[in-house]
Amino acid sequence: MNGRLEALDVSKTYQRGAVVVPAVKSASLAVDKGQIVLVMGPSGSGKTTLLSILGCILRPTSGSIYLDGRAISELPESRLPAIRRSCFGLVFQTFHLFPFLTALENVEVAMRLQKVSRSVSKPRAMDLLVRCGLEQRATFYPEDLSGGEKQRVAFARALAGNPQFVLADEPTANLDSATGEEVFSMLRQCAKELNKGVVMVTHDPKAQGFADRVFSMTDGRIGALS
Amino acid sequence: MIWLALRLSLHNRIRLAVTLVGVIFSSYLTLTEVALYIGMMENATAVIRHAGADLWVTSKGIRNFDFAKPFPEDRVKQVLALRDVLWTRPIMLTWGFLKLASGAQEQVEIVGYDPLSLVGAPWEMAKGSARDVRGGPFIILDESSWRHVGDLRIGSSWELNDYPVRLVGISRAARTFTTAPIVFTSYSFSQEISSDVAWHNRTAFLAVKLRHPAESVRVANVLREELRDNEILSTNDFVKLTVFYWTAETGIGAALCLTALLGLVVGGGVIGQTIFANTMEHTAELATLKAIGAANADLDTIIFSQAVLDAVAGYSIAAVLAIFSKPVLEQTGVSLALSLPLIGSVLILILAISVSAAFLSVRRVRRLDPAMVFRS
Repeated sequence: MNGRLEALDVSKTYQRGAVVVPAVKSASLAVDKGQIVLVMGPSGSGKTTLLSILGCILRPTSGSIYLDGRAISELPESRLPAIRRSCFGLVFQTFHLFPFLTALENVEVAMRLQKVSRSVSKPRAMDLLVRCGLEQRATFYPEDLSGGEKQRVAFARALAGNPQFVLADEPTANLDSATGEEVFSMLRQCAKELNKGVVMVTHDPKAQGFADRVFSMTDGRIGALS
Repeated sequence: MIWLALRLSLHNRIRLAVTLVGVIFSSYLTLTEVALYIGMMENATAVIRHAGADLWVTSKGIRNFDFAKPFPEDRVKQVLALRDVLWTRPIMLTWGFLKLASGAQEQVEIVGYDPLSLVGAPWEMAKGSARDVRGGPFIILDESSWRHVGDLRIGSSWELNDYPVRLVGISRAARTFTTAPIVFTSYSFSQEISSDVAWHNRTAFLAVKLRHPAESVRVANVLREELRDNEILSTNDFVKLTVFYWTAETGIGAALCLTALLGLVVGGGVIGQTIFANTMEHTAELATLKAIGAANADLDTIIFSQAVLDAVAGYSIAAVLAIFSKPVLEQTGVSLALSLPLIGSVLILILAISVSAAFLSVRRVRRLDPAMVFRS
């Protein structure tokens, strides 16, 4: 089974002093390449925690994450960075661009982490910026970009490492409605044209129109909407 | 990852400037203090190192070259009686007063040597020859003594211990630890002008050259048996003894070492503190790097590269400043032994301290939770 990311009966609890706080309860979902999966729910419902677990950033307390049938959540900590940089592209709510790098360099970072040489990473990063309509902004620093431009740079960075999956956390939360729709549209293109699996968590109802499958999440429990 | 470290360092120019100033200050301090210390120790041991001897016979309980005590001169015969000895020459070392034309007196260290063999003679001459002291009241002064005695001109006349003397040569780089000028003269004249009866028919040192220097330990033991009232030292041990005296027993060396150490600590502290502040300021970016796949080793490289870049940049400027300020500092009478090996060694030391200081940041970054990037 190639190009499938799957969460199976995943739970995550946090210890707050003597109190055990459950964040995700027995969640299962799968996303295939070329598919866009949406997880919706109110703040604090556990969506972001689930996304972090899917991206190998957090370990589940129980249950497993499978990538192409391999239980990546069981891998030792030392192997996870390589999985993160080669299999996943991340898009954050607050962009998390590097303020000391230009837009072009921000995109290059993901490739440089994969030890791609500058002579290769630079034209490839430029190509991604062109795809995102940012060729005129390549030498701009993040502070000189608008919110929508920042998110597009972040999106280009997420694709720079040629990942199988893109995980987007509230990607439109800091954007106006029109720019938000542009971002949804880019994520859909990413799934359909670039054949990436996309998992997006959001509470923006407009996202539903761009998704193949929609899950809802409430109090850590996941349920299928469509 | 080094380019990322460079960009991170250059991002906050003011912080970088403050760091560089701190590193430059501490590196310069360390470099000049260590160079000053080595220069002083080289001065203190210069005659020993340049005499060409394998062994030294000195008075019992000697603690350094400059404060020699007399012992009978006829020990030369006992030393020469050994088949292992190629030659031996007596060297005088006393203190005296040079009366200047103005009437003022300058305390000087008088070194008397055999002008034929030149054992104990000045090793580098700016003017004249070390043999010129032969057969009369002739002296050689170092070119650095102009600060004490005024203009140095061949043929100038002064009084040394009330004896009229004439300057016949000017030596180079022959200085004492105490900065008092060295007056080189013939062995016989140095004995003649010694006002102290304790020096009559006595000498300060015997420099001994062996036929087979590799056997110096065995010959030294034989001499120790023969000359029980004397100290027998290898050249190396005599150098060490003198260095130990000025370093440990006077506190001068210790003070210099302490200042150099403080320079290193300040430098390391500045770099460590700056990198830690930089790390704290860029926690979100470093966590983002982790989240998008940077391994701990990548982040370690960034932190350590910043430390190395700060240290190398600051140190390079400090080294250039030290090289350019050397002639100015030496105008005051001190010697700075600012050699390439020293510059390289202090750089390694500064780098080691800077990298150590960066460990705190490395620990912090290793514990960074990449999941924090999802918490806006």
